[in-house]
Amino acid sequence: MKNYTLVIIITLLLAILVIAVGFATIATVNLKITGNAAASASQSNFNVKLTGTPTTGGSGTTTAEIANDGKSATMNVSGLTTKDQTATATFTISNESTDLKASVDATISSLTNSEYFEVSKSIASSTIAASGTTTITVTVKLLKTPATDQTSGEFTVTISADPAN
Amino acid sequence: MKIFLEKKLIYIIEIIFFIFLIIATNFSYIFTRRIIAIVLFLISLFCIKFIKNDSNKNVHIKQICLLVLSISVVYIMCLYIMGLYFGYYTSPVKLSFWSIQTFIIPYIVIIISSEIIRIKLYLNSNSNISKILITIAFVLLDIILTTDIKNLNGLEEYVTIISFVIFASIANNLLFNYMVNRFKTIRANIIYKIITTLYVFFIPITPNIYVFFESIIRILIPYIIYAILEIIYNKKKIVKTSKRKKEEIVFVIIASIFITLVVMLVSCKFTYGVLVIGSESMTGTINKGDIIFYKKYDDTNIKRGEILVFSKKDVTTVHRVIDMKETTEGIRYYTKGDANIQKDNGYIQKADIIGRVFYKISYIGYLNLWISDLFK
Repeated sequence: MKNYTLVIIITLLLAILVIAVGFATIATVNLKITGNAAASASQSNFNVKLTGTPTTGGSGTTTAEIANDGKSATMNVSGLTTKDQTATATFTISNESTDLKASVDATISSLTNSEYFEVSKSIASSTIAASGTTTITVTVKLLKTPATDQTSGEFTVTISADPAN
Repeated sequence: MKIFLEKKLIYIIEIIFFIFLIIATNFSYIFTRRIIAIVLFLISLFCIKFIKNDSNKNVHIKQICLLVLSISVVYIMCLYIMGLYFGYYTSPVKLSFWSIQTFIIPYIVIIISSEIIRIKLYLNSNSNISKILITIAFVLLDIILTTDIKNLNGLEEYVTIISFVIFASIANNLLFNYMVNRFKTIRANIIYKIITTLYVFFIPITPNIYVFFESIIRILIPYIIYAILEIIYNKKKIVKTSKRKKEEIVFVIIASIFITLVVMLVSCKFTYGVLVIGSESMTGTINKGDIIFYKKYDDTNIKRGEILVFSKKDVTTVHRVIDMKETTEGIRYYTKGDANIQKDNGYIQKADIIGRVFYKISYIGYLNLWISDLFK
């Protein structure tokens, strides 16, 4: 009788190795280049900016205005008197590139009176198709009362946009 | 003359069986489980009627059946114990009148009929080619019963079918052939098949074991059964020198440890994992075709310059952290491939991080990339 056991063990180990190579290959498929995928597209015309007329809503009086270059906007809110009252302004973000998608994001910083105000933002879609648009809604909420005319706060919402593939 | 005719008949049955399986593979929508069950039942009746068997049965049949029954139950229990770690899901098919007539009865008929065909053909077949053909036919039958082989799509499905169905079926069928050949019985095979195939219908939850692990378990179990049966019933022990025996044991231990490590790393389910690099975005530091080793992220602070494995929108990426920003929503990590001009789109957060890269080996992943390219 031959020593089949060793042959079987070696065959089994090889089979397991083959399975391992197969599953490692599946994991490889998921890896992809990110960051320079848009190399073939023209980046010279990549331009994302605020456009149109902002819409406002909620309590109190809110005004919103976009600067001429479309790179910044201001939002003034007054008349929030009751706790948890909110005021909103919705801005349109346009991707003026004709061949690149844009990945947009927004951060809120430098809020000076966080004791009284909370600022949040919501982007409708984090990716804008070439020549497409999305909207960002900025919400200001009064956290506590009483708030007088002198109670004010300032904040900055920075929108960043990167080419996406 | 009679023996000659019987041999001819065996070849004819083998060919008919094979042709039927090939047709069933190509017309899976016609050959449902019920139709396969009926055809196999008819072939098995034909085998019983026209092929006579050696009546010398093994005296240990009852003992062997009990042993196989115990191992099968322990195997299922182990799967459920593993489920404590991997989790469970609700069994897709529950025990009902519909499942009994659609799955359970056809499966039982298929299992019993196919084992009758096996013992009749295998024991009366003298040529090795014929035995190999019988084994291939049974592997084909397993494929037909579990997979819609004609509609496989993409590398992942092929790898899963090869590992989970084909390799496991080869291992199982070699065990079944061995048991038929050695003990002249099909009862143990039927017990093993019924338990390991039909348990899902009787237990409402199924362990959600990673298919990679389950594939390996499914090829190891037949070997374990074979090894136990050989230890208990093989009276002819091989005479080996103690030096040779030692060498073999050392080889098996080292090879097993190596394979266990490979399995643990490739599965990426434990503290350490490996990934094959399929892109050139980190060229210079990590090249295409290299494999990287990473340690699972343990929530400790990440420094600028570290190379991370992260997953965002189901895409796994290996890039370097170039910047960090602390925000009210947590720290944002900005990443970039060393060979990329631009940084990656957006940012990642702690929840996206899979692990930290700590080592790489060059060129080993080229085989994987080659296989991957074949399916593009």
